[in-house]
Amino acid sequence: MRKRRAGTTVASDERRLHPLSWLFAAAQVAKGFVLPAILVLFASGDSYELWALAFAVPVVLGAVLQYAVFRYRLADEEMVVRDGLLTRTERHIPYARIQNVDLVQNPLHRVLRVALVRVETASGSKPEAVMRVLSLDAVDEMRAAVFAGRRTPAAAAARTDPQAGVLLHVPVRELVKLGTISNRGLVVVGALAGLWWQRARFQPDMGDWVGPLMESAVDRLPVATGGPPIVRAALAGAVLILAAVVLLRVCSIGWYVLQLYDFTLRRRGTDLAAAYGLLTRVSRTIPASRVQSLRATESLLHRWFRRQSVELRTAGGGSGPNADGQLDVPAVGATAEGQWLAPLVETERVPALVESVLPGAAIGSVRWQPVAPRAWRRVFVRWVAAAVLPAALLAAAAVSPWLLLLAVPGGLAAALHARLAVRNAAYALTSWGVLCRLGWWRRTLTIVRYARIQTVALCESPFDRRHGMASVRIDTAGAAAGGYTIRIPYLERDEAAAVAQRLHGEASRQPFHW
Amino acid sequence: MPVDAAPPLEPPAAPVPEPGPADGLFHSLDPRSVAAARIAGAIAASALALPILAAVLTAALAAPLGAAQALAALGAWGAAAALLAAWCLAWPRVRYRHLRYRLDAQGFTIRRGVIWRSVTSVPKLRVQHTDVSQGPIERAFDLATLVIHTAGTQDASVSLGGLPHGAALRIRDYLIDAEAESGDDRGV
Repeated sequence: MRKRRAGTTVASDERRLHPLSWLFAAAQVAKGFVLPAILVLFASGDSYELWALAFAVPVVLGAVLQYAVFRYRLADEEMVVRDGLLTRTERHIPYARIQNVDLVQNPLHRVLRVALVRVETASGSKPEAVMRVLSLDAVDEMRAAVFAGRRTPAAAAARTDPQAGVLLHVPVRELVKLGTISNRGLVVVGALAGLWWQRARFQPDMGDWVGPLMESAVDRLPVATGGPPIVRAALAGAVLILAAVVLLRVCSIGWYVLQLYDFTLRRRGTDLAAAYGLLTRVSRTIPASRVQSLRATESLLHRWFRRQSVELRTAGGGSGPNADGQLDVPAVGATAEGQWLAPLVETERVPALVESVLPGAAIGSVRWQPVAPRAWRRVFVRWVAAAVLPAALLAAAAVSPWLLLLAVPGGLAAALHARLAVRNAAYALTSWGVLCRLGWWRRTLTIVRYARIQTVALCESPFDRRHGMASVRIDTAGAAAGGYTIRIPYLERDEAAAVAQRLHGEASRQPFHW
Repeated sequence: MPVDAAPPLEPPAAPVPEPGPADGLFHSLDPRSVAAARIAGAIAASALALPILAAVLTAALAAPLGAAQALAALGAWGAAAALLAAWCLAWPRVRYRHLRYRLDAQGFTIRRGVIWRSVTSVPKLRVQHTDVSQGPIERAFDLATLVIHTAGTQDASVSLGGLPHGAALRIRDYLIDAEAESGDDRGV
């Protein structure tokens, strides 16, 4: 491949974007401005929203200019990207530094056999180059050039044999379960509510049918034909809540089917590749070297289905929903902070899945260390002080002192919670990394390799000091905003100091590679 | 690389056996950092208190405020200002007593906090780059602030103010050397 290109001249090697690139820029504007405007137009009969169409003109002009000035060249060892009209930039991206060549294809892309391409290296949070759009043939050529020098002829092999190296496939059945488990429906309801508000603004009477609808729904319930008004009101409330819950879950299921349809995780040499999406299809590579931490989550509903969700955090480009800074790169499939390794997977398959990212991890057989057993009293006191007592005192002051008795079941619940939370909290230091398990209702298991630890801190709050305890927190690249990746709470002071010392020592021995 | 820090023409023949900054002992900050922190605190407190005093005086003079009320307002301001001044005087010393740092072959460690205490350790191999900066007050006392950047998220930059300028430079140089070593590892 290299030899064939070596003979050609530089100029003939230069490639442009797909000639229809402007169409996708226009489609992007259409999605953001024009479709809502047209919807509102039909709803209201008012026409001023049509002026939003004017926004499309400069964007399309910009895309045409972009097509005119944008060039890229696949040299022997590097990709050269030239861009800019007034300020011209020429960017050299060595193939060895390229970690991802990711594709995003919405339905329009797929009809025209093109894709939005993101070229990512480890540096920074923005992709090195975004190409909107390239034909699939050009993408194949680029991937072949980029991955030619790699140990594994990964991309091409995966394209020709779709079943090669599949680690996980999530069928629709599982996505329905995932939608039932998690509460993503609120997102959809929020969007619908926004649209609804737009309609209601112009036709205020639209909101008035909810009441009669509820009335008629209650009237049709066989038990509710008679009875005093308070019973009917309570029934109506119950029906409303039930309907809301069902609606939320249905929206949630729809959301996940749309976003994660046909989620497939493949092995590509040492890296992983994920592809998902019903309408907009995303295929992205997850270089194993970029994985900073893993987290398996298991809520009560997860346990009923005997499933877990596993997400991973990466450093660098396109990890979070807002990380790419590109309006046109949808963050679908990204979780709140990282991206899915497995949206939903059978609990017994989790260790094998973790092995695929961390070879030799063997998380099934690590030796767990408990936190300080006395810690449950601290959790208990905190819950009583924060939740149980204020509520009971307030009720007693407002209504009757007898309501202080409310504190009794509340206190019992707090004690139970504290016991369970402390019993389920544990950590493990292995030969390769650290694991931490927290929570009893919603359980999380976080895994970080020593080589990925950035800083270690030993922390003592005033309460910690009074009980002779301390916590250890671990920071990594690509952690969630406003939090440390791992926080091991409620350790005996000496034990915590030893853990922090050990972690610092292990991290100091292993250089950090991006 | 700065121009004035050009490398010597011939490499050093053997590693220098001097103890260097990485002695593995916990050090206090420069004692002068207490005075510097007091001055900085006084400036910040004045910026907070003086506009309020101006407002109180304006209200007392312009508005139909009785002499007793004006005195009471001034008294309240005086009490608050005295508390603030006492805080600015006392707190830097308390904080200074609770702060220690250590540099050793493994990395840099800062122990700090009076009520909420923490010992933060940055492994030497995780240092991305370091800054040494001096504000006007720090320059007057020959102090400096050392900022260590890591690839982390919450601790993406760990900063320590109130170091003697020379010590900050020595620590920086030591950590930069470490950085170069890890860079060599990366290529292998």
